[in-house]
Amino acid sequence: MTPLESYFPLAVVFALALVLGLALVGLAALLGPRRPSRVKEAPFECGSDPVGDARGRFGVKFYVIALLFVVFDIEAVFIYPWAVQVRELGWNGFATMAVFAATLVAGLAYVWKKGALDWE
Amino acid sequence: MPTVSSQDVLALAPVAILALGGIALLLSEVFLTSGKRGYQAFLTVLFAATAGLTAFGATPGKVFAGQATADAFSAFVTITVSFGLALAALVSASWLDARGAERGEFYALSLFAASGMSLLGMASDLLVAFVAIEIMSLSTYALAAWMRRGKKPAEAAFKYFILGAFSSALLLYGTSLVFGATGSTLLSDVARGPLQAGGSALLSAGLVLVAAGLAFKVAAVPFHVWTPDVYEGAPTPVTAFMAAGVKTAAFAILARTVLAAYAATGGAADSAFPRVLAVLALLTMLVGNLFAVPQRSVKRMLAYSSIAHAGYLLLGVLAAGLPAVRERALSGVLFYLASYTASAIGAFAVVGALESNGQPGDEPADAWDLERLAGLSRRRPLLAFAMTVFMLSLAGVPPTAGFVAKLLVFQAAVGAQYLALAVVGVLTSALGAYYYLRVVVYMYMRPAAEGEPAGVTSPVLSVALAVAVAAVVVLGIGSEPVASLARAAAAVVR
Amino acid sequence: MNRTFSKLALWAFLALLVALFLGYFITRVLPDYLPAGRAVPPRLGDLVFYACAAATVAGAAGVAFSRNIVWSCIGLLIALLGTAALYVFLSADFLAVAQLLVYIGGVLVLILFAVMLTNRIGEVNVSNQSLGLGGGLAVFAAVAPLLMLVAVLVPWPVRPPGPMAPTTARIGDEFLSTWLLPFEVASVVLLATLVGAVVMARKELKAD
Repeated sequence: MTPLESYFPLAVVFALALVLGLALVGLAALLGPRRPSRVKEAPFECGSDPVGDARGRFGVKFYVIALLFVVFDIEAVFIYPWAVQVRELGWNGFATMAVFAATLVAGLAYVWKKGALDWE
Repeated sequence: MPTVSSQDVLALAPVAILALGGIALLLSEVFLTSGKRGYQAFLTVLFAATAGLTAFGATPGKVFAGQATADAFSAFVTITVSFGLALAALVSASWLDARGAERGEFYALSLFAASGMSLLGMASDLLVAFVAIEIMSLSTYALAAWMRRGKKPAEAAFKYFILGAFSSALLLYGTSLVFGATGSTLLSDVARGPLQAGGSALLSAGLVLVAAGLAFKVAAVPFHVWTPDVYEGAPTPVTAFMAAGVKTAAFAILARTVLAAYAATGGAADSAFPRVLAVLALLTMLVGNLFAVPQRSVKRMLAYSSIAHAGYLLLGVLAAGLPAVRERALSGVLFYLASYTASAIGAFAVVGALESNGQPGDEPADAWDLERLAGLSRRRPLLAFAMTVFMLSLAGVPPTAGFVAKLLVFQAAVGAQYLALAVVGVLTSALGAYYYLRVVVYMYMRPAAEGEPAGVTSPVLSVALAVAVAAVVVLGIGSEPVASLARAAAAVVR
Repeated sequence: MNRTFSKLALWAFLALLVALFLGYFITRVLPDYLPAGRAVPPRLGDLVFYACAAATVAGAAGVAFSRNIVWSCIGLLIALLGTAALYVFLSADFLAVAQLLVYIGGVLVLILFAVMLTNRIGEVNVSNQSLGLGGGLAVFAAVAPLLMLVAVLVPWPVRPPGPMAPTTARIGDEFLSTWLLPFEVASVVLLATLVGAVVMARKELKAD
């Protein structure tokens, strides 16, 4: 076959996960008894009575945190290949990476001081 | 292994200075909490001036394995962008201060955008160009959303973002096709044509998509539909900076790309690429000018006028395809960009000064109606005079910068045998004179309406307007120093 | 009347897409497996590849055509997963993982937040009308056949994918040598994004 063989275990895991998930939901739907009542039909909200619209607004805070996460996620992706090669790339590589990281550290300092990381 | 020569670093100095300036302003905003922000605009001007000066310092040549080029061309672009940034910062200081909206982030984003524009002037690799465009665009999206209250600003920011993202996608898709055909994203490799025989269709498709993505940025018809709404809805100083800076930077990379495309598709006259460009130029000149005529809102009129100017600039880029007139055409384009930067920022500054002082959301629908300019010569003679100079320059009336710029571009177009297009350019310019001079007529010949506010002016705005007027007049009367700089810049581009 | 027409046009458009894909598959892909009348069964790897490619296209179609924006997000998830799988086929292991990490773990979550932030999304008045289905079809009719023709007819400089070796170290080297300039400048893109996000999400400006 192809060099893809090394990914075969991964494919098995994916397939198993898919089968397992479908089986659990499917079997429950097929075999489980159905005795609907008003309480059961109500949308589940952690045991408390459902209040308000399901599409209520999330605070804009979530969005800021999520975007900060994406930005630093990408930074991590950029740093990782350098970290793998850190010995070969030497001090030159360290310096270039320091410039890259410093730019984002400045951003972090700004965000921190600005209070965008505080929850309320 | 990473090898960075001092030449590489020196060449990038203007970009680095602008980005560092952005970081400095960002941190000063949160760490200096005195509430006094008057220094921010001056700091921005200082960084812009330093970046402009260092642009001269670089040794000409290709840096970073040919991905960027430091030459007279990039220096001219950097200086024009820095000049625009400095003017726009002064205009912003006055406008934002009157609305209690002056913050360090504003200048930081402007400086980031300018660093992207400066890099775009150097970029000779499609990938570097893409990253530079993203810096420029992301910053201007956020700037367009600076005043969020009210429908128009929100709509402007949203439209600008969606269409900007779309154009970036086009650019990236085109770049990937170009890479597929040539195996490289370097413009110097692209100019050599496809790797394999028969790959030219792929290369052409990629280059057309790249050009379409850039046409969005310069607001060329039919990729212009976002322009009026965005220019009208964005905060006026931001509009000024967008109109001048984004146009300058986008035309710089467009010129380099088009020249590579000409070389790749073999000769200028017989391939399809120039024909497509000619149609774009024709449509842009016609639509921009025709749609500007019925506009009552001065800001919207200036938006359509910006489209029209993109048409004239496209004509110059088109003419640059012919090697014989390349130098003349490109120097015309560069001069045009410098002249448009001064005139457009000045005109938008006057418009911004006459806006009502409240939140933009509270503004009536006719916030920028021509009527607001009526009788301005009585209320504010100097403001009216400045606006007259800018209008004359945009219309291309001697002895202003706009006249020389149009003359250079049209001469180049005639030299490249695009006679019909040059005639259309002259005719549409005559049409343009109608709506520009209408503004002057309102200012000088119509009586002011009752209770019309006098408008906000401040010392910084006066300085900005004085500099812009001086630039327009100097470029118009003593155009030779700048024109020779532009010729030197054009001479190095192959 | 108008709605039935637009629905019809939409389905016709989808059918056209499917037909084009099938036509391409039958004329360009299948013959490779049927040389001179002798049926050769496609290899397993190829079948998996086409399944992934089909999932990517289907996910993308779901993003574009779903009426419910949350379903669009699910479609995007499938499209992004499919792309990650395609990276695997090109022996680009690092890219595939980065795709999962950044796009599915980050960008998709961000988009879901953005969707949930904006209720009443249908109540916004937009001043200029979109071109609508007709305009979209016209642009599609103008562009798609051209791109497809180019993609099918042009002899691509084909390189076989490299051996399935870890690419991370090589990417590290390339980042800091060949692609140093875009790499460094990317930090400014990230910084501008960060500042832009904070600016957009801040409270209303008031004089202080």
